[in-house]
Amino acid sequence: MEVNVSKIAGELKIKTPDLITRSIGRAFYEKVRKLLRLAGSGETAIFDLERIVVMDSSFIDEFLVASVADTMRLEPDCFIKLRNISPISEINIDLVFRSYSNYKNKRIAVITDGICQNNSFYIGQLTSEESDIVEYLRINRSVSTEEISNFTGTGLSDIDQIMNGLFALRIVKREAPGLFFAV
Amino acid sequence: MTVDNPIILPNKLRDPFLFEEVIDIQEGIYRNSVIDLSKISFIEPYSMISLLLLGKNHIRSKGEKIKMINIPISIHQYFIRMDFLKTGIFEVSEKINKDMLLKRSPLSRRIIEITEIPNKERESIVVITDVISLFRKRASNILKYWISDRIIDYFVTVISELCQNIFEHSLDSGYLAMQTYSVGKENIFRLVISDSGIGIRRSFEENINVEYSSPAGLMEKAIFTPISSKREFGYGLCQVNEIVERLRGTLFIRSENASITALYHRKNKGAPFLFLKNNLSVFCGTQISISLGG
Repeated sequence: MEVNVSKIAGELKIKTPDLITRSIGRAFYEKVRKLLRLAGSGETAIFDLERIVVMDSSFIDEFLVASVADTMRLEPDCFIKLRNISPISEINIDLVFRSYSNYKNKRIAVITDGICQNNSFYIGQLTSEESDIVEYLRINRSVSTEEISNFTGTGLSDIDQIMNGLFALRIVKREAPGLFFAV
Repeated sequence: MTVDNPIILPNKLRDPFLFEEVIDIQEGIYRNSVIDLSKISFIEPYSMISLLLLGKNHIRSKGEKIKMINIPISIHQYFIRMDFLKTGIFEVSEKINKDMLLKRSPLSRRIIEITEIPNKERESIVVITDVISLFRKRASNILKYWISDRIIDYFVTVISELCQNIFEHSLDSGYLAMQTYSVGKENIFRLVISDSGIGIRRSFEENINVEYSSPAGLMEKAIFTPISSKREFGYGLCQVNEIVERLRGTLFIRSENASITALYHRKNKGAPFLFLKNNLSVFCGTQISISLGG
C-alpha cells in the first residue's frame, strides 16, 4: 500500500511543502488510519514523503508516532516504511523517536527506503546488534534465526528474543516462528 | 497622565540583556504613561517586541495607551517599516514625512515585520503557515550571510514550534519578528517570538510530575528534556534548542522573573555556555530570542 503524503495534504487542503502543527498531524493521522485499516496481514504501507520538506515535531508526534504505535499494537500486523524523507524531517523524526524512547521507556523505530544520516535504513534507537541484523536482512530479504545466530555469533535463544523484539517494533516481518523477512 | 514628566527611555534597546534595564523601570513607565525616546539610537527586534508587550500590559491593567514622544527619525522610520505602529498599542502623535519612509523594496527584505500570533489554534495555524510561506520567500535575503543547506528548513521548524507554544501554553496572543542587521562588521540574524501570557512556570503549575529547583531551572529542563505542561511529552523547545546548537547560535528565553541563555558558539571552545538567572524583575509572559552571529 502506498500512502502519498502530498496527495493527502491536497485532499485536506493543506499547503505544502511544510507539514506543521499538531492539529494538522491529527487530521493526517485520522485520514491515514482509515487507509491502514484496509491493509492486509503482513502488508507494508509506504509513506511517500516526496515534495514534503519540513515535518515539525508536533506533526510527527501526532501523525507518525501515532501511526507507528498503532502498527505495533493492532491486528493484523502491518508495517510502515518511509520513502523520500527530507534531511530536516529525518532529523526531526529522529529527535522525536529518541525522546519517546528515552522518556517513555518504550522504543519506537521505522524502516526507510533510502539510507539515513545514521548510515542505516531506519530511524530510531536500535542496538548495534539489532542494527546489524536489520542490515543483514535488508540485503538477504529473508533469514532464519539459525542464520542470524551464525552471522552474529549470538546464541539461538538470545537471537530469538532479539528477532521477536524487532518484530514487535515492526522493523522486521515474521512469516513463521524462526523465519523473518525484511520490511 | 503626567505628560510634563515623561520617563526618558535609556538607550538600552540594543540587545535582550540590555533591555533588562527597561524592564527594571517598567513601574515608572506604567505610572507616567509617557515615554520619551529621544535617547534611543538603535532598536533591535527583541527590544521592539518587548516594548510592544510592555505597552500591551499597560493597556490591560490601566485601559490606556502609553504615549511615545520625541521619537528620533531613524527609530520612527524603523517602527513604521516593522509595522510596530500598526499594532495600535502606543499613542504616537508625531508624524513622519511620507518621503522619509523606508522603502519596502525586495532589496530591503531582510526582515519579517511584526506579526501577531493569535491565541486560538485555528487562526494561529493560518498565521503560522503564512509567516512560514513569507519566510521561505525572503529567506535567501534574510539568511544570506549564513551558508548551510538546511538553515531555512531549520528555521521553519523553529518558527512552527515556538508559535505553537503561544496558543498552546501562554493563554495569550503573541508576536513574531525577524531581522538581519549589522553592528560594526558583524551581521546578526535575530528571530523573536514573544508573548505576555502566563509564563513557563505557571503553565507547569498543575503538572506535579515535573520537579525543578528554580524558574530558570525549569527552563533549563524544558530545553533539554521533552517535558510538557499539557501532555506526556513536549518536543518543541528541545527541538529548537538542538537546532540552535547545530547552528552555533544563541538562545535566550525570559519568562516572568527568570531567564536562560545558551551561547552555543562558545560551547566547543570549552567556555561556559549556559547561564541561568532568577530573581529578575517580573515581566509577564515568555520572550524568546534566537540569534546567529557572523
